[in-house]
Amino acid sequence: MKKILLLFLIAVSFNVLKAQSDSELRISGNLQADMQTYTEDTKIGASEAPEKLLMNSYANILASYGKFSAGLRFESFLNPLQGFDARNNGTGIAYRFASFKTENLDITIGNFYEQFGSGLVLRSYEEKMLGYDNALDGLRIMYQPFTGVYVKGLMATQRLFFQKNETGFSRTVNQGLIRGFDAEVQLAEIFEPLANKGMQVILGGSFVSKYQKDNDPLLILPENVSTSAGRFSISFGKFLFSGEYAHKINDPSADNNNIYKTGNALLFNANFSQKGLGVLLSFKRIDNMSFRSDRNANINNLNINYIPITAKTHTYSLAAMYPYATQLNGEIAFQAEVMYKVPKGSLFGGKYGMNIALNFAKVNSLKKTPTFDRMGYEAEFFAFGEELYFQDFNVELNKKINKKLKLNLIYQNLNYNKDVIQGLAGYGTVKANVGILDMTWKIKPKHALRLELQGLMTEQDKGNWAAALAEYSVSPKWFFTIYDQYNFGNPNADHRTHYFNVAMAYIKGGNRFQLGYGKQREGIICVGGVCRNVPASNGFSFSITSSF
Amino acid sequence: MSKITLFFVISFFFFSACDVINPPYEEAVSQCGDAEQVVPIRRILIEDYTGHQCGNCPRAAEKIEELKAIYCDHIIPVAVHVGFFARTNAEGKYSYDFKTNAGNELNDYFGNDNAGLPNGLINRSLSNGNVITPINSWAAKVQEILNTEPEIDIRIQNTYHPDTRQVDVQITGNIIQAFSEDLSLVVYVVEDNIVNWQKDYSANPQDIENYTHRHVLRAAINGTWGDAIGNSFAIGNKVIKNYSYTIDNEWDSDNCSIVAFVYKNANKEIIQAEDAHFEAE
Repeated sequence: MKKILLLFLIAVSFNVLKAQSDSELRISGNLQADMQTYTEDTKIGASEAPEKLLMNSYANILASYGKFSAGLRFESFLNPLQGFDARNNGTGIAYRFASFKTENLDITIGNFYEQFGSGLVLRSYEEKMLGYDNALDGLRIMYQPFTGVYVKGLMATQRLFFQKNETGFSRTVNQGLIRGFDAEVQLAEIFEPLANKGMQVILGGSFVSKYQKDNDPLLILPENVSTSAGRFSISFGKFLFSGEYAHKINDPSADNNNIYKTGNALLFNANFSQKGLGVLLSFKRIDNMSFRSDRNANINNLNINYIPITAKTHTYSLAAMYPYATQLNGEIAFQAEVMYKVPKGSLFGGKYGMNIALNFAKVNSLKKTPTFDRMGYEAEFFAFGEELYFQDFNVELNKKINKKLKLNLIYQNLNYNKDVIQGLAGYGTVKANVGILDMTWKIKPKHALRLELQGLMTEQDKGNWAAALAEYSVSPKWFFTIYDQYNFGNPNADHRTHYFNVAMAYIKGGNRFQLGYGKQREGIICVGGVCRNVPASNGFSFSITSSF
Repeated sequence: MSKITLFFVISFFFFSACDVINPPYEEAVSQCGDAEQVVPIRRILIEDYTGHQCGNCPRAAEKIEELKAIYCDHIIPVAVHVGFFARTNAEGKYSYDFKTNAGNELNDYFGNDNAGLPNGLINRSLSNGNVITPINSWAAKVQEILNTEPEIDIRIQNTYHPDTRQVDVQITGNIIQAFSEDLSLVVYVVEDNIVNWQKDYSANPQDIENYTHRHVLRAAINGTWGDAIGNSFAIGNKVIKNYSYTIDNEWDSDNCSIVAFVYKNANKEIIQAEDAHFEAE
């Protein structure tokens, strides 16, 4: 660690000296700090933090000089905000790398993020909202041996939170060893006739293997577990088809309860787009595809791969109240989306036209037959199982009424199998209808008022909710927000609570300061089907974001 | 051309990295009655943190039986009902309260419920930096501790008086290895085979009325964290402690036993455990 820092510093100072010559040294970075106070509020289930004030913060620094670049991320969790794993606790350099890049060669040592294809066999990424970081640490080489041919190879371990080592530095804890190889051929770059016809064909294949010692005295566990995948993408005119299939050999783990069955995943997407019309169809089937560098890891820890979500991600608070979480052990899903722009001047289009988006997504269990042995079960390939995990039908209308007023209307019908998605029992499926109205009114230049009204109706779980938001912005510097969520339909009258919040933000240059106060309801947030529980809280929050 | 060769070499290197396992998947490693074991043997406390409304928790109970078949006397299981999944209904199913003060305090200290049940503590020792051990790692952890020589040999003598429902317990600790560290002794009452409701996600129906709850923690006779027994021990030293405890009317004394263990105060790690069935007078 110290050596790498030293190298980094030497590299930087060397570059500063040479900065006047052929190439230029560039240093950039950003910083974010989120702080929150916690007051006990038994009514909403919020607990006090013994430390009163908690903070998640990090800063990235990146230096580049010609073909070289190096960077690091400093993280400080003192102590982690509630809802984030306590193992994040600490301060230190969680990410550091150095890389060398020429026209057809790119070498990175240290930490890096990487994705093969759609991520079915390997995706390393970071998502602050989830406290998700499975950064790789090792060596990566990307090489372009011929025109249109791209290969990548890597060997690395993976990040799991923080741990202090004997020298006092914080470092990442590594478990398991990951080896990966990926190749992609872009045919249009090789065969000119294809390119001339406007046809783009991409073929790719990847292989990832993990090593973890078998220290289990009861079972003979595979120490090297591999996954391999093949993918294609063809675009021609208004059409785009893409797909990927991945296969995993036996990988008994805590996720699949130590079964020796192989795993597989299939993704298929078809797109059609032309002016004013877009159609998207997707199909996905996942069977026993959890793949982690530690077979005993759980929650969001040490995932090597990523399974894309086949459902729309909602941003409005009540539409996002029951978000889908991908079931790595098995699911079969499809999604259809149509986007249409009603032309200007037509009956519904009016002066500015109108955007309509229709979306339908459905996720079911696999059709499984238990085998009562260490293979676990057999599953039919193209059959939808009987159990519905998730279904979302939604319509969104987006219309500009006049120069000052814009409207966004959403209707959503939702089926959310709480037992399966949250790993619980006895709650059943939540059936909800959600309606949202969002109006933006430009009062005068730079001054805008945005109003949101939301309602969620359900007879299950916590019953009906309503939410309202008003946001006044004086661009580009000031934002003032006031909002409330009200659980007026809670079956338990004592829990019909208001979750009231106020917030303001000030933006100057590359800096943003935000101050808020209010109550946060207990819930789940998901990004791309990966989720985190958010505990109820009550208190002040303050955050700084800045880039330099 | 050399580039293509290089690809094949790299590809071969990667493709060779996979182990397909064929049946049988189990390893035969029974440690029962192994004559080569050091005597007295290392006895390991497995605390299974569980709850009657926890539908995945029967998997942990099954794992204990699996381990029992292999490790026999080497392991002493105790089921500790804690947290959200141990909550009770006012009446009907799941109205029986398995929780204990000791269990609640242990859960507050170690945080088992927050980590997602079921999970366990194996001698309360660290596993990958965590004291909380997922059930898939229990066997490996037991195996790791198993063949170390115990520092102390614990003996339990007890007399149960059915008329007064009082149990008199004498714990004797014989020091086998010299030791200078703060130690404490904890004495629990454990009841086996309590028949009551249990949720099981893999059963149909999921609510099982006549589920047999094994090795249930009932009480800590000398408090959750026990009594300090000193900080400096020479080989041959003896520590003797006497306790009396009156058991609850509902408990079946035929199924009750005493579990005693000694742990290091500094890190709460258990160094030796012992159990003994109630001996009626």
